[in-house]
Amino acid sequence: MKKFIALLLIVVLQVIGNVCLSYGMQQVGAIKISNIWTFLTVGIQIITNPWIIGGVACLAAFFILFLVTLSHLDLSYVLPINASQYVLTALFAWLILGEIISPNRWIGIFLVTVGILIVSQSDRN
Amino acid sequence: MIHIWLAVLLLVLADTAGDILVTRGMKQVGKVTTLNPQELSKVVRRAITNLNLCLGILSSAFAFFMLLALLSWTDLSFVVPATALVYVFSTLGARYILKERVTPARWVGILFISAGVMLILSTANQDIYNKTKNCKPIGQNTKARIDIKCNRPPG
Repeated sequence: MKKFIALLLIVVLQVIGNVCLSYGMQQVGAIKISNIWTFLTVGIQIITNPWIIGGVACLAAFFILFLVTLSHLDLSYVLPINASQYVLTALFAWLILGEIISPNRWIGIFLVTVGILIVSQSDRN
Repeated sequence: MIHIWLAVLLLVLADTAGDILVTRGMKQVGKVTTLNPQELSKVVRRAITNLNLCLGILSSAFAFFMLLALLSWTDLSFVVPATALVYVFSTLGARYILKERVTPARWVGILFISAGVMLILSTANQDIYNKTKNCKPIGQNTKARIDIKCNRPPG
């Protein structure tokens, strides 16, 4: 049961963290760095943005949980579970961020997920 | 569009290199077997002076900044699957740099991932870039009107 919750959290934390990062970066605006001052200005805007901070916190939590889980479970077991993050990310991006995802992109995400499942299966054997 | 693909390539290369360097560095530093403060400080000193580990962390940090830049230019559902290229590059690195043996089954999986990523890369759009590109850094426009999607005053 604990393993199930850990694996679920690994995926969810990663997806939510990425969604927060995306929203935060859209608030900061398209990055165009022409000199050291724009670099510093953009940098400060990034690290003071609450969504970026929240996203980084989620991803840090994910990373720690990932390392801890890897000390108990095999990578070839954790990786396929993690492969679901691609579909989930697209789903959350569509639902929460209002992105338009073309059929080609869905097919690509499906192919990527299948590919990762095959890779982790090959590692297990 | 080219800057998006270039950023994806840089992100993936830096991420892969970071992974390899950190793994190599941690192997050199050795296992953390005790929480004894004296032993632990020795491990920490070995860690921060290990070149592989430091370069690996720098590389991963660079990859993260590339991720942030990409997220400011294009969709999340584009960026995250594009990072799956890391599997492809790390397998290529394992085979041709580390000279490890890669099973045919793994190559099949890599083929699927490559096909998927190429399809996704073809769907690159500039919607977010166009929406936010006219924002100016704060301080360059005193008649500021904060747009909900852009902290910086629009141009």
